[in-house]
This record gives sequence, C-alpha cells and structure tokens, in this order.
Amino acid sequence: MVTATSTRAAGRLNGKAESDPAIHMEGLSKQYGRGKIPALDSLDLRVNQGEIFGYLGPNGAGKTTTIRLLLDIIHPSGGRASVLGMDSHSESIALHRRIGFLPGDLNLWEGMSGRQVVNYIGRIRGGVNTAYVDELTTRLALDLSKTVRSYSTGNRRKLGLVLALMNKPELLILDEPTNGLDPLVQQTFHQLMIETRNEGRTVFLSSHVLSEVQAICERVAILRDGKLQAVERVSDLMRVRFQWITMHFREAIDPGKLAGVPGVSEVSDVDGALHFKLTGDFDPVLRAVSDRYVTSLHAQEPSLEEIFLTFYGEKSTAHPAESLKEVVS
Amino acid sequence: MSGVVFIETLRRNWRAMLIWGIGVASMAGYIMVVIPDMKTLQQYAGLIKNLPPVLINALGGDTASMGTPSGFLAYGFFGWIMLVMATWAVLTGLSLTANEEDRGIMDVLLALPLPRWRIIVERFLAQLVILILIVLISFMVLAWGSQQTEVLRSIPFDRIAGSTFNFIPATLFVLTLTALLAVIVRRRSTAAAIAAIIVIGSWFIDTVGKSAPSTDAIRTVSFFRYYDSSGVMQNGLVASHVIGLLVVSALMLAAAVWFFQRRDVGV
Repeated sequence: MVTATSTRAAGRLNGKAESDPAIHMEGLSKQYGRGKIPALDSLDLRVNQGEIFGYLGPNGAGKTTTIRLLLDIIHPSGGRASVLGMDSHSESIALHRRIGFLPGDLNLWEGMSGRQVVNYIGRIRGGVNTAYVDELTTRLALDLSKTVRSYSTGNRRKLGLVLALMNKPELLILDEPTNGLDPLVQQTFHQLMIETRNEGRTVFLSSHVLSEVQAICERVAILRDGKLQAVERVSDLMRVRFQWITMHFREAIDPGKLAGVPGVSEVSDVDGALHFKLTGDFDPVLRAVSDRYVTSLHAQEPSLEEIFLTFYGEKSTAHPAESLKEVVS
Repeated sequence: MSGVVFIETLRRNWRAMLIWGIGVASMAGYIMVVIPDMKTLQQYAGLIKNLPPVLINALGGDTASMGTPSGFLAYGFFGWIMLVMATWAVLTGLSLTANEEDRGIMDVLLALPLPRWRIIVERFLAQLVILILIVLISFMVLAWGSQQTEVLRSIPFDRIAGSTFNFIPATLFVLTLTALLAVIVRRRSTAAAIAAIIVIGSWFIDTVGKSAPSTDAIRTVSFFRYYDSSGVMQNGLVASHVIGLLVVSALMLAAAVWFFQRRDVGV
C-alpha cells in the first residue's frame, strides 16, 4: 500500500488547503461477488486540488472500478471515498454537479445528434453554456449537427470531452480520454487540461498511454491487480534522466572502447552498432570514439517504465520496482 | 433539473406513440369494418357454440355473448389486443433502465446530478402519458367507428370507453413487472424473456381456467383474469380489478426504484 501527497500542486490552488483534497480514498475496496479476487484492494490515495493526476495501470488493474466507485455508479465493499470534501456515496448528487466525467467506453444515444445530447445533458446539469460549448467544438473540430450513430470513434470521444468539460467542473474524471483521438486533437486535449489546471481545477485521468501521462500529469499513481503500487511526481521521476544511444560506425568497433567512459553503461554490439545507456553529458562519449568515423547517431528517451525501474532501483528496495515492469507495459 | 428526463422521454417516443396508437386503432377499425349484421352474428354464435371451450376462451370470447355486437367486439378486438399492448409494455419496461444499462449509456446518466429514482419515475410517468395517448387514439377511432356501423350503435358508449381504458391497468402491470425484472436480473434479454414467459403463461392459465368451472380458481394468478375483456364489455369496469392492478403496479415500480437505488449498475 502506498500513500503520497504533493505539496507543490497544493501551493498553486488559490488558497485551497492541502488538507482539503480533491479526491481522498481510504481503504477503498471492491469485490464483485464472494470468494472472488478483489477488483480493488484497500486503496489509499489522495489527489490534491488543482493538479493533473495520472492513474496508470494495465487493463483489468482496477482503474475503471475506482472511477465508478468515485462516481457512486457502484458501491464499495469496504472503505470510503470523499471527493471535493463530500462523501462519494451519501452526497453523490450534489457532488455530481461539480464533476465532469468521460467514461472509457463511451456509449450515447445513437439516434440523437451531438447537439441534442449536449442540450439534454446540459439541461440535467441545470443549463448549457452555449458559448463555451461552441468554443470547445471549434477547438476539437467537432460537428454537433451529426447523429451519434454517424460519428467515428474519435468524434464520439470528442463529444464525450465536450460533455465532460462544458460546465467547467471543479473536478474532471477522465477514463482513457485520448483513446481514438488523432495526434492533433490530443495536443488540443493536452492544452485543455493544462488550462483546466491553470484555473485551479483538478483533473484525474486514467490511462495506459505513458506519453500522455508524462506530457500533462504532475503526479501518477500506478495500479496493478487492484492494488496501488506507487504514487510519484512525474517531475521527480523524470529527474532520473538517461538516454538510449545507438551509434553506427563506418568500421566495426569493439564495445570495450566505451569501457570506463563516465555515464555509459549496458554497452552492447547490435549489428555492428554500439548500443548503450547514457546518463549525463555526451562529450565523454564523443572523445572516446573521436578516432572513429561515426555514420549515424540515434538517441532515444526512456519510457516511463524504464524511468520507474531506474527510480526505484536507486531509491530503495522497499518499492516493488520489478513488479512495475509488468504494470507499466 | 426536474422534468428533463420526462420531457426527453416524451420527445424521443412521440413517433413510436403515434405508430402504436394508429396501429392499435387500425386493428379496432378493422374489426368494426368486418363486423357482420345481427342475423349473421347470431348464426356465427351458433357455429362457435360447437367449438371447444378452450378455443373460444383463447380467443377472448364466451358463447353467451358471442352473438351480440358487444360480445363480438370483445372477442374480435379487446380479447387479443391485450397481447399487443403487453408487447408494448415489455418493450417499454425495458426502456426504463435495462436498454441503457445494457448499452453502457447509464454510466453517463449516473455521473450527472440526477437521482436514480428520478430516472425511473420520470420515464415511467412519460410512458404513462404515452400509454394514455395510445389508448385515447384507439378510443377515438372506436367511438367514431361505433357510430358509423349500425350494428355497433347498440353498444353503450360507456362500455366502449370502459373496455378501451381497461387496457391501462393491465398494461401498466406488465410494464412495471418488466421494469422490476430488468432492475433485478440486470440483463435486458433475460428480463424480456422472463416477462414474455409471464405474459404468455398468464394468458394460458386464464384460458385453461375459463374452460371449466373446476379450474376457474387458477385464474387468480393471471393478470388476464383482472383484465377480463368480455366481462368489462358486458358489465363495465370492475373497480377492485382496476385498483388491484394499479396498486400492484405501483408496488412493483416502487420495488424497481428501491433495487435500482441500492445496487451496482453496469456490472
């Protein structure tokens, strides 16, 4: 069980105290039927107001179960959750006025147009901010006059985002938000999330897309088999910087050439090229091979998985770094 | 906002309401067009008398009234049209929660500031309005048609009205039964199958029960016993039957709300 808080995000919250988290789960558990493995096992997690929080895990880890518990769509087998200071079960209706939600598997009324869906949901929420809806649809390049039936997967996702965002909720809960979105719209989505955070609002997004989490989240939680494995700031993780380097030479080169070069490790010969991990500056490497003709050089950023492994490898053995290898895949 | 689901349900179903209303009314119109004169009716009754009672009862008539215009109308229309209305009721009962739960749409609704009970109650009320409109359309056609046919003019107006509005309690019974089943079993297809079995089973029990005095007691478990098309046509609405069906429907609706309020959705 891992619990963590961030003071950085809380400091930006226009006076909102860290003691008043956006989401607070205490021993939250869910078991679908007696004798079955818990879908969620005693989850303790605190998400601060005004941050973009990533919730990572492979399929079946319990991400959607957590979200459905927070929204009172299903009821916990144990523990409790409070959202924006309100009990997620007993005060769910008042709470839902303050939350925008995008389900992972978004299904809507096929025969209705996008506009009709927006108006329907908007009326239930107490009104539609037409100007903001128009702004969102313009930015996301979504045509609301078409029926849901005729929308592509990406357009359905965009409509889902409009529905989640249109009332400018204090908390956005997004389940796999960029599934099916093209890269350009993903960029717009990232901008929207950053704007949301800059307005002091909170985003809780689940994902298995590491780059997405890396790009916009301040902290991430990793979930596996219904158990929380880790909660860390992305910026802290990213400090463990290294690169995978592949250098091609005109003539074959002995990998031993890089032995002892500062920051170089895990050197291997891949089809005549040198492949190695570099932590720190590049200059010592260039000096070490200065008598050879370099034909090409390729540098690759590490994945979040590798960063996690490195991070926990350096910190302590208490963290289940090895298990994360399976989680963040 | 209160009433949004009610209005949306009406908006989404007005076409279906017209189709069902016109469909049921067309069937009523058809039977009035084909209804023979009094003499033929009596000959017809004489022929029917020789049929097995089970068969006559299955068609919603009885030998005593078959030779009268009202008996013929009860036999030719009101007897079997309840099965059509029951079909509408099953489909509508599923639309209160099961359709959207099955398709995964319910998550979107439940994440809104909308109490679960309001989803069921507002939709039910909208469907009640739609049912009343379907019945009204049928009644208007029957009322107008009965004045155009000489043989049907003898039927008291209140009997046609009573028989037509007699659809409502029995249809609501099937609708709320289906809604309750859908909330309990959680699967649309399962709920539909159980509701269909109950409707057909009730029809069968009622038919068998009517065929002999010794088996009449088993009819008490069938809602068709309380619908009783030929009895209502001959003697008017029976208040205890109407109230009984409405009370049971209200209880089943309340139970559906209770279960839906407490259970996990979409699992």
